[in-house]
Amino acid sequence: MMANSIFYRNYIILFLIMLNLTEDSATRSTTTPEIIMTTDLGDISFDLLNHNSTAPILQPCQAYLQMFAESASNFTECLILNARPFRFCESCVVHYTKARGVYRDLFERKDKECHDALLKADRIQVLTLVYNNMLNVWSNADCENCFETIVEGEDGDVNFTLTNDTILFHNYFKNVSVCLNVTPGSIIDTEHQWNSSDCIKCKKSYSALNSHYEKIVKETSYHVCMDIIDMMNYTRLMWGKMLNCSHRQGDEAPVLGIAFVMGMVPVIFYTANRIFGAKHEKSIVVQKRLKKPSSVPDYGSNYSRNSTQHVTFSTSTSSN
Amino acid sequence: MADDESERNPLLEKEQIQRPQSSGSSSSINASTGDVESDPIQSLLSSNSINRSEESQPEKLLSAKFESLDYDVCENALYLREEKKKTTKEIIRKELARWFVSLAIGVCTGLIACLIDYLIELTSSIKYGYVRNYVEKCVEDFCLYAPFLMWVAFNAFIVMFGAILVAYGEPMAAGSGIPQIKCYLNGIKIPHVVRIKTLICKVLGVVCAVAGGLAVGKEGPMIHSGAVVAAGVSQGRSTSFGIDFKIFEYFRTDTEKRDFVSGGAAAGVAAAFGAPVGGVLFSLEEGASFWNQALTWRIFFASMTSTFTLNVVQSYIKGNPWELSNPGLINFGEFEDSKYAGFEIPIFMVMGVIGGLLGALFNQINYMLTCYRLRYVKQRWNQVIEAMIVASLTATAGFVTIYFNNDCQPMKDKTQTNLVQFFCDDGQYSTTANIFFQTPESSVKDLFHNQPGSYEVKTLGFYTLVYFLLATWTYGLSVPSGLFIPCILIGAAWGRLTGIFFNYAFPEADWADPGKYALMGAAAMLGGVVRMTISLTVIIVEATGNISYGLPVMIILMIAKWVGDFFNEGIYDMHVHIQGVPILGWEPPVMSSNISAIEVMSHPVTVFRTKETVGRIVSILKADEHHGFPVVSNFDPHDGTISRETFGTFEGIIIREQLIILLKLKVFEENPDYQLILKNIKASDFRDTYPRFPPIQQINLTSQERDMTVDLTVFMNPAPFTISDRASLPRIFRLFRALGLRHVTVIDDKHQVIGMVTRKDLARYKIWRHHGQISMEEIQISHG
Repeated sequence: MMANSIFYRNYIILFLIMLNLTEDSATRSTTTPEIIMTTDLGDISFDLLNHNSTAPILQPCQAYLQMFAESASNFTECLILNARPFRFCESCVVHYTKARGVYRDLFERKDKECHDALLKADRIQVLTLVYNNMLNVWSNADCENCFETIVEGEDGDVNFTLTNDTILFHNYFKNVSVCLNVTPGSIIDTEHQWNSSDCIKCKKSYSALNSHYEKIVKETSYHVCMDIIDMMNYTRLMWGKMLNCSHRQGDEAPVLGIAFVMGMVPVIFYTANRIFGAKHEKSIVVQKRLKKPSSVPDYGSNYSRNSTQHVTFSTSTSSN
Repeated sequence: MADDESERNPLLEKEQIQRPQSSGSSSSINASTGDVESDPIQSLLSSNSINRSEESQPEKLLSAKFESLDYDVCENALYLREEKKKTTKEIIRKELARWFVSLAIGVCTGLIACLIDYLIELTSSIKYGYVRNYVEKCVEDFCLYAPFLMWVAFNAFIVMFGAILVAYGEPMAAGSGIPQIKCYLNGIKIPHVVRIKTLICKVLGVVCAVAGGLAVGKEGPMIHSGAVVAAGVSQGRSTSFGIDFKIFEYFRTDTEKRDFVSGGAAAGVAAAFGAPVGGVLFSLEEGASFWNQALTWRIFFASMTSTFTLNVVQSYIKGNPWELSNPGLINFGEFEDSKYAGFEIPIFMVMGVIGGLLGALFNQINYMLTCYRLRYVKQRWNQVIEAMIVASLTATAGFVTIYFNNDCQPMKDKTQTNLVQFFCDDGQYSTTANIFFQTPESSVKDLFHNQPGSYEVKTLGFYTLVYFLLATWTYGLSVPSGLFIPCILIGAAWGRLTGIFFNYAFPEADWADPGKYALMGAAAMLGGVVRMTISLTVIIVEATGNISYGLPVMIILMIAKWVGDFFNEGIYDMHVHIQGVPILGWEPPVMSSNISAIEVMSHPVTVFRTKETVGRIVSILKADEHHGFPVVSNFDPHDGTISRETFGTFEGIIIREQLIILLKLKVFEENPDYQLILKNIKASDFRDTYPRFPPIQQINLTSQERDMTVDLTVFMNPAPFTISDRASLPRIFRLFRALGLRHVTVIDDKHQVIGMVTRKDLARYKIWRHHGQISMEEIQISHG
């Protein structure tokens, strides 16, 4: 997640630099990129045509560059505007598909000229970098799982259909929002007057939403579209934190009782074994030694005595 | 197991007691040594009184049931005849076969690792799935005792299977197997240690133990499994199943088998930790005395193959074929931001000290428990019950910790699957529950890599304490159990606490990454408990894939070992000594150069003459459990009246198995076709029955045959290692350790046999280090 946010940041900065912003705002963007992201970007992207590059690139290639710049900045704008609450997948699917289409057209071009001039021109490879970041965001958010189909028409139109699960989820989510009179995740507001009766009133629709989410989780094996995860997370947070609706607590007595019994079992086991268990003793092998050392051989005190013994003994054996 | 014992010093116990009356041996020694106490009865009495006072310390006994392996090639006439017939082709084929066997060891070990991993994942996901569902349901319906009881029952039931497999199937499969493999590589034949039955019990047992929620890992048993695979594959047959593929017959000796077993152990480490180099170094660290360059290269090959096989199969299991990113069973994950500053090294050193202290405490508690178990928990059903009790208590401890420690964190990261909410509000999950409701491997990863702030201090504190106690209690149960994972978890938990502390103390500091401190804590804890050095460092470096942490890890392990050694020994050595295994350390005991061969050796010696009667051979083999016998000339065994200090002129040495085969094949001089037998007998006749030779009781001989004679000169080893009676203990020790010997005959300056030295004669001199004091003592040898 950390890495991703750095990616976003770099990506925005690159955009800004690419669009020939003044030195001044570029440095400003490195220090406080978040501010720029939310305020300036929309205007900047439309200035594109006025800031034509002076590099001598072939006309058709130049057109590609412009098309990609436009679609990519549309995508970025959409991405940022839908960051909170997170509705990126469904909102930006059109921009994403278009930008991807432009890049793919360029990439698959037969004539090689534009392909090499734009994609392999330098070390940074801005277009590829931007494209990869786009793909990254899309796949990290598991956006693909929101949609049944995404079709890109010949004329550039994008048609998509949501999966049945997604549509159903939206319905449940709407029910909850209507019931609570607020869209979860849209406001971060503690001032709002909550009614404790809301809990009882909306319990049914909340449970329906919850169980449907669990079903989606199972079906997609934990790769749920991020839009849905986010809606669910914030609904749950609101339900638990702000409405104080989840009453989760246990009944301590039986748990403590069982724990106590369990704790007593080893005590009984070990004591019983200690008392009734047969003690296993080992019998000692009688070692056959020519000579048993008088005590534990020890350097210092016993050394001189031991060594004299050896001398006496070895002389006596050799004299045998 | 009792019938496995055979090797002891060549001396007759029963005779010892009778001898003072029947012969004048004791008086003669008295005469020759002056006033030194050497009355056998007296020394017997005094040694008995010592025994009683030392009963409380089982590690102060050597067990007589362990034998040595034979690494020394017996260069008898048969061997030379075989060697001379060797062609270039055969030499090349043997060399190629070695490489092929290494490959097969690697592949099989890798596959076994996959099997273990797959079964554990399957069983635990079923178990935790059920319990989790019940928790989620009951937390609102006030029935939390139901999932609690369910968890306890699951644990106890699954562990029961594992414990039954071990207690009734193969007791040798208990524990991590590292001590046993260490002993095997040291040159000790541990009964049943490399049998296929042990492997089966080990593999299934470890699945039960881990899936049963015990505080154990599957990594240690992997090393044992690799060793068994190696011993099995290299022999080209299975005696347990009675299958003989008629291949690799030339590898059926202790020397060759041991080489392959060291390769198998290395392959096991490689598969367990994804650490091929660590595996090679593990074998090197544990059995370096009989090492060579070509063997090291083959072992490295086996390790690499093993980790590669695991990697490929895991990639298929995880659904990304040939995406090779799972080199080991445990993967510590990538440490992306792997920096450390110079000023952190002193912090790491302090962590090393803490690790050493905790490790010493761990070992001490486990030592006392093991002594208790050895004495009172001996019956098999008792061992099964004990394992079940520990399993239920593990579940209880987990549940109670979750119940009373409500540490909630928001669910933001969608990569965390299977989160348990427990008492947390919706949208949050309980980190305590999460840490207990998954396999230990996933917990390790979480502790290393979860973002700062994922755990509250009290959660980690509880976890460290609970897991520490459970792990000390669990190791030594009658289930296969690895120690690495529990140590890593304990260390990672308190290491993460250290990191959190620094974060709290220096809020601005970006160096205080809890994940990094968790890793260092894990290293310190491991070092403090197992006290391994070079191989452990490399294993950790390889498992993290991070060279830059090499130095801090090394320093931590070094300090943890020093601090721990101040109090007691490493847990593996401790268990080796509790079992009474006559292991020989790296170096001879210090302060032992004043001990001479005369004191070390066994005396009197049972010897055979160069031409020996069948009757005497049979009666000695039956009465005696010794393994090697000096062959002498100028000796009359029936002359019991004169005092005996020497036993004839030394000619060579013959071992028990050779004698049994000779009797079986009836290689008697009076036999009418003696010349034909002699011509046809081959060295492979002696190898065929390896490693389980028929006992002497199975050899049937007529009374006529008992009067015949055997000429031992053809079959004995005519040039074994001998040592002068003037040699010191360190000298004999080095000879044994470096050459992997089994017996050395002590001769005097006239080439007369005066004693025998075996491994146990040397191993009984033990060095004790306690609180900076070093002392040496002689320990007793016990039956069984």
